Amino acid sequence: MKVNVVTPWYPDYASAYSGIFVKQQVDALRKAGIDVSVEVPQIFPAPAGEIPTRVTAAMKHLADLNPENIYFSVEEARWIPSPVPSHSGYVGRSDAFAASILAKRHYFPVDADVTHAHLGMPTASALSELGDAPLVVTEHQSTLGRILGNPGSAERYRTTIESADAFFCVSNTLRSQIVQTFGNEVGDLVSILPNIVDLSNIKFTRRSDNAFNRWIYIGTVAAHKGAELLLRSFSAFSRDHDHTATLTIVGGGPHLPWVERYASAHGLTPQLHLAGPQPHESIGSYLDEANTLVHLSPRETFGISSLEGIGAGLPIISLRNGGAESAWGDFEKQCGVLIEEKAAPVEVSNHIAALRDDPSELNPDVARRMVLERYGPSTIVNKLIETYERVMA
Amino acid sequence: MIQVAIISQPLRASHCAAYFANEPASSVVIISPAASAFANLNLQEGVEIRSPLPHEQFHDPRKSRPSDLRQHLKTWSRGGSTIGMRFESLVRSASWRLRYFHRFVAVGRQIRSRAKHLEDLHDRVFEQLEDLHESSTITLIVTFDVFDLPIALRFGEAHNIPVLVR
Repeated sequence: MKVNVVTPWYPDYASAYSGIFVKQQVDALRKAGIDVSVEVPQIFPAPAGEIPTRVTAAMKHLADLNPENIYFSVEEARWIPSPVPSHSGYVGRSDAFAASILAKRHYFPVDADVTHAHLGMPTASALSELGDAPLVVTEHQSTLGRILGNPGSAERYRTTIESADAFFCVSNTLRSQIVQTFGNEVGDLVSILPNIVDLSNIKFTRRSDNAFNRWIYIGTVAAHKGAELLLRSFSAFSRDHDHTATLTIVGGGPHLPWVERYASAHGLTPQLHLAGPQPHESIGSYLDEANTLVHLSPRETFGISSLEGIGAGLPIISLRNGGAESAWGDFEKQCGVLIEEKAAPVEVSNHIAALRDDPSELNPDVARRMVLERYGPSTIVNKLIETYERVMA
Repeated sequence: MIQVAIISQPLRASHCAAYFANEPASSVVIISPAASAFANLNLQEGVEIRSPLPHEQFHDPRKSRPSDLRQHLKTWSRGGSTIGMRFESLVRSASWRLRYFHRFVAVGRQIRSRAKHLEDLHDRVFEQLEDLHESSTITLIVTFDVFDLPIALRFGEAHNIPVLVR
């Protein structure tokens, strides 16, 4: 069986984390003996209006000289520069993807039994226009609400769901948005298939202390990922409960300079460790050093880093962000605590202190077993292969 | 011998920086009218940023030069008073929001205005490539914006220099 995966999110030299969950799926499929090719259409922002002929001609000319000059390969995936005019909206983005993928396939054709698109729009929508079939789709994006909120893109999105041979969302949070927009008739075409959480490089450690004072956050350091609440909560905890507490941030992002300035202004610099972006294989060693994982992003579609923290035996302090309730909400007491979205920094700090004072309900062994059973590579891959075989039949 | 990157579109500056971190070369010149886009990025040693616009005062974003007024305000706000501490907290809180928003607006403005002065910009990029090649021999041109590709190809083909899009 040959599967062609098409995804705009995939790790590369600019971001080790982007689309890591897609790569984990690809790796797991290959390990299961499936022949997988990967295409990565990448947005190249362009001015508003049609892409000038001189630009498309230059791209074609460069590819004629040597296709690798433009359609380069990184991590066994073929990258496709896709000029997307600004203000073209999601529909425009989808059309731009279709044009660039078609251009790339002139030089590097694809021969697959099934196409698996990640993101309903722009990816699956573009592939649907190109006639890729059978087509399996997985939706991940937290901006789905914006797509569905625009009549033009919503209509295209609905058509994509209806024409796909299988359509998945990684969490019920996303599926609920589709049902809310299009009703149950379309909602019934959508199933849940979570991302893989691969714990093979993440050692389970039973912590002997319940100090909750070695915090860790893994992910993008950005305002929409709760970076500000994280620092303010840590500041409150250090001030009110444990001045020896430390915070390790693994990841990069636009809010890092603010984090450094905030820490400096509040005398927290000696307690802050900025590890920067790290390859995913090294995450285990950082988790091992911590005794609390704090994830205060207000919106997540899945929340893989929390699940990896659970796999490492860490208690998880998370906002109710959609993905967290969906992924481990029924195991909240064993895993950690879910805090209301509008919680103030002092409230977050006090929740952690309360858990520290009474951790009796935490059960890291049970929590890790839940992650392995629900999100382990073989569980997800078996469901994927079953789907591929069904749509090929 | 040098490698040259051309990037008029600042949104992919991180890709440019990451590319040369992973494909190091002894000497790299990044030709970009948006040097500030590289301000918070780790550029390897041997990587230099040059603006193609002669009227632009080049300011190395890696070196901060606080004004006297800013220095005075900092000294006062950190003098130990509560009002000073609250003032700094307020300014810091407002300034990160403004910077985030300003960058968003500035980049958006750049995208929208690009079409108007792109031709002028590319003429200057071509001149700069000629100067660089004369002084140091360019061995590779990498573009991170396909709108720069026509000029990169024109120069590359004239001088037998390979061109890549990354």
